[in-house]
Amino acid sequence: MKLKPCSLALLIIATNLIINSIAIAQEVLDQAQYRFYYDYAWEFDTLTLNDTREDLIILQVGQNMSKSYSYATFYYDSLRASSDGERAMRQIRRELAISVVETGKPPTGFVRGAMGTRVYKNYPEGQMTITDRISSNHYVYKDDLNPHVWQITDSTKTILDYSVQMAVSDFRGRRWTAWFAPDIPISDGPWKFSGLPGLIMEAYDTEKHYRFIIVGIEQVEDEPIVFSPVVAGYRLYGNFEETTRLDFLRGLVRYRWNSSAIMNAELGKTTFDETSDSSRPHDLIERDYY
Amino acid sequence: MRIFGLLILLFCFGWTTYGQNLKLFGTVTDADTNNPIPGVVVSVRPAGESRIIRHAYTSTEGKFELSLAKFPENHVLHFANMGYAPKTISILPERLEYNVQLSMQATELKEVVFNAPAIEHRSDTIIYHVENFAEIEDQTLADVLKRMPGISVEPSGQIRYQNQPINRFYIEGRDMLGGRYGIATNNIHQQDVSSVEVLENHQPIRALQDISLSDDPAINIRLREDAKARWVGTLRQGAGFEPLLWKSELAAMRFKENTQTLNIYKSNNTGDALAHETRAFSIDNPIAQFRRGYRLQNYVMVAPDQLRQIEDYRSRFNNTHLFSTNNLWGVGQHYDLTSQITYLNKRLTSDNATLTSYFLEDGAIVTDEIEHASSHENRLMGDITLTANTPTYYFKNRLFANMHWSDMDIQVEGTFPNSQEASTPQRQFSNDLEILKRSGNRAYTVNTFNLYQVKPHHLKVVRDDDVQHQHVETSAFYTNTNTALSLHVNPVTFSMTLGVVGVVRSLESGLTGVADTLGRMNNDETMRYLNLYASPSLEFNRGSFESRLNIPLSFIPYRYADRIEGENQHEELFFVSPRLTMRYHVTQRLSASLIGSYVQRPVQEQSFHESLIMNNYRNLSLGVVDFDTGNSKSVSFTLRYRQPLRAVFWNASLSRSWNYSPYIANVYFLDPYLLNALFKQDYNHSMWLMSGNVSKGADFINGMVSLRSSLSVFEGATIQNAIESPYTSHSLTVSPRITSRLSTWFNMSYEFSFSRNWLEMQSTGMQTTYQNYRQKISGNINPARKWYVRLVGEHYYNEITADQTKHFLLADAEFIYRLPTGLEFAASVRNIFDQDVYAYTIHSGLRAINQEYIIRPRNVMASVFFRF
Repeated sequence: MKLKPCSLALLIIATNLIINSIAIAQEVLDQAQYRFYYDYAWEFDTLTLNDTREDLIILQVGQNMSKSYSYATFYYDSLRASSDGERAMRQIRRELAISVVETGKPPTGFVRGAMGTRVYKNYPEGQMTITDRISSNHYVYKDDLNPHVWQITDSTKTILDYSVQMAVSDFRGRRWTAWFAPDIPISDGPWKFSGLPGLIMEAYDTEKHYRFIIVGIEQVEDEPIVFSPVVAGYRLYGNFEETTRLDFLRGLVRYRWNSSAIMNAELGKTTFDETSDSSRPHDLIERDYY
Repeated sequence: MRIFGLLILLFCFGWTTYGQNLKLFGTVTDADTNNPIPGVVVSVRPAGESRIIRHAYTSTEGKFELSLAKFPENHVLHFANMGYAPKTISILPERLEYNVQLSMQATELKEVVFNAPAIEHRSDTIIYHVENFAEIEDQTLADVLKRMPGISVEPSGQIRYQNQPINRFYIEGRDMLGGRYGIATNNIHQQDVSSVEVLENHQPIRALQDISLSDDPAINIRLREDAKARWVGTLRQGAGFEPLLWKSELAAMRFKENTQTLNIYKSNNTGDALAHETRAFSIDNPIAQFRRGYRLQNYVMVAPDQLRQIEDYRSRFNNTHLFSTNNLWGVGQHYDLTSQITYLNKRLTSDNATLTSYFLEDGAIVTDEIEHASSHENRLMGDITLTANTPTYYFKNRLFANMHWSDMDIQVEGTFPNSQEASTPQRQFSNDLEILKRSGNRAYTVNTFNLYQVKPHHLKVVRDDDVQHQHVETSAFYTNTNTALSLHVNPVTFSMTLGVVGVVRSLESGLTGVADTLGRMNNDETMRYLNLYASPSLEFNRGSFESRLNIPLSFIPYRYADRIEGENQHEELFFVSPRLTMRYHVTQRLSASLIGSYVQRPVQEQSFHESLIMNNYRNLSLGVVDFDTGNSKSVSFTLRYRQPLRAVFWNASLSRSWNYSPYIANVYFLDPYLLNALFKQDYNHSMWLMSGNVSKGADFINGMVSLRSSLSVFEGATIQNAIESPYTSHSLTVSPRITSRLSTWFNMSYEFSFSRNWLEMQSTGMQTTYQNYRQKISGNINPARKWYVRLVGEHYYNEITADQTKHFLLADAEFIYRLPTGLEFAASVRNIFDQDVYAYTIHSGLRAINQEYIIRPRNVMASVFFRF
């Protein structure tokens, strides 16, 4: 069958559109039905406890799996999932640059997501996949699904008009307290928390170094849960390096303690004074990496 | 028997107790389809409450099982699953099995609306709060910057983030210092700083903000509220002995909303260098890359030998004063005016002895000199810059003046005793203008840089039997105007700089006191040329492959006029120097890169002097007027591996270069002079350079272990007394190193270095080698917050000649006591073992040079520091 020039042109255009969207499209893992917002506060210096950082964590719950990530990445995800992503982002930056000039203030910036960790629960089935980064290197590792052993207690209270009940767990070096809502039968929560017969609305460790508290509940439709790729600068570039949870935690601690030494090693010369590295790293959220 | 009965009764009672262990079970199915529903939450609750006593989930077959200690009075079984209507059933005393059907129903949750904060300014910013990184021993902002993960400060003062140099340094959002941010980082006290913001991917030019992507970071310093709008600063005063030592440092600054000022006054005679503070770091110019400058060659080269093998401060006998004032005025919403004025007054003295062996075909010539030098230098520099930075255009004009007066006095004993007085002042004025205009999605730029420089130099040499005078006046006017354009068609980026350079240079010199037979004594010449250049570059990136090709092209018409001989020479030349860089990321961890280039050397037009010029008491040089130039080709290959998770890094590189020159340096030994002339003869020389480095994190000592090594091989020749001597020179260095933070109050670093050099003359087979060993250990002890001790020990083992070696042990100690108010007392001892001389040997070309330097004796200092 001979292709008429008109059909050929259409075919080329269609192919381009498909290739374009594939190139920028991301892996869609599930469709979200609910979106929960958590305020996340953490102590940067666990020794002096006077530098609290805050972030907003979003938990997307789908039919089969869920994703917990930082709000700052939200715009990137949804924009890049669209074929116009790059251009739309530039437009936003342009408008912001103008508004900056009009308000007369120099760019101060929005605090970048303090939690670079993204937790995909039940993906693959029966496990969790975690992506995170150390400086500019991105890593991925697998973890057990429902790794907590909870003891449910009798205490109850109310959060956002929902009745919640308390449970405690010794999890990887910290003693956690979680409040879950028996009336929301979603066995999930922010970050890696799950395994209680209700949605975890609040969680904190006894030393109050890390705290999550729910601030918003939303029902959604047709919202894809995507596997966020590595984004470096303005280009989609790079892959996650596979590793294990303990190797990742040790690497993170080492980076915080020894960033000058690591920089010297990368450059292959002793440019930076290694005795100036910090001696007071803050403790990670999981402390069982020794 | 009764006991047996009692036992049976107990047994039954026990059984009954266990028998009361309730096991509730059942199956949950879908009311419409009758299919089992897995994952349903089955919970035991008190009737009417949400509280869960016990719970279980249904299996894939919809089955559940719950164990209870005893029958729960007034409790219910609650069945819930998302997507189904929940069901509650009372738990009945005798009933164990509960089979339930659930009907599908969209689970409606009570929504709680949350308005996510608007993302107002979307630059990628990381904020570090200073008080969380500062340690007891940190005073300046630079001290704390070094501790922030990702930020590193090089010894020169340049700041890098993730290995990339920053492209702007702001204080409270304003750029007062341009590239001279060393003044801020070395003088702002860390307690006045609230946070350090790192702006990743920073595009400082607003008009380019979404069309030109930037990979570079910038830093913005935010001050504490109580440090703003009032005068803040620091003062240090120290005194010591052997001989009388002093050190004074005052920094005073005020940062208001629309004006900023930072002033420093520093002076010392303790050997600490001050000139580096006002050094400008080349801030990446995002508009165009072009060389901003022209340097007039120094013909009078009278300088004391400098000791570079050990830390500068050990051998610098100085008396230095530095004053610098930096100001910024905001004039209008988008306009900033900044200025800087710096004055430096420096006196230096040095004493050293040198034994030089020149290896000739027919033997060796040995000369020795014992030198005492003293210099006096004055520098006055100032600049004023006006910047406009709006979303549609960018304008920056910098007017700069640099005046330099330098007098040098050197007394020499030895083979050729003499006394030299040299005066080498310099004056320079320049203007640098950048304009960028944005139109739609394109930006148009023009840059013009103009420079005028003049160097009136003079040298007088007094010997036992005669006196020589050399005067050299050189001046140059340089202009460089250019524009840049770029085009991006995925995945290729094409960019080009087009410009015109113009140079007018003149040289006038006269020499007296030297025999006429050696050559002409006077020069009076002018060189004019234009350079029309285009520098295209092509960048291609796809996936893991990055490549860049640069092909700078130049068309240069030269006009040379020699007023003494009355001749003119014209020449038009065309140059091409392509360079290709390719990088391939083999895996996440391993990358390989290959760089190849071919460079055509420019015409050495500043050597166009056919008369003699005396450089110093020993060297006379004769230039040549010739437009032939050389070239060099080089290839280099590097492999890099990084595994930051396990802190393993290694890299290896190999490079080879071939150089061709139509001239070869010729030295005639005409005592007491060395006549350096260029011989017209093809000269090829080549070089190999290999290096390998490995580093690994060592958790057991909480530190890192690394090994660095390099080997270089040079093959070339030199002509002495018109005889060509080919030679080979090798140099090998191996350095292992350990750093460790053994506990929170003690950290240390140890480095050992071995180096060996060989020199071989091909024609005579003569060989000479030397080797050196060096070790350095340093440690910080900080047991309590208020005080700390720093110790440094260096040991050098140098081979001076085949049968003569020397050991040197240099050690320093520092003790600091700091009060929380910011008041500090410090005491330090440098060169604890009071070593007075440092000696070593090196090879340079076909010479072995053996040097001995007088170094600073034991210096004890005590100082007080406070901030206001």
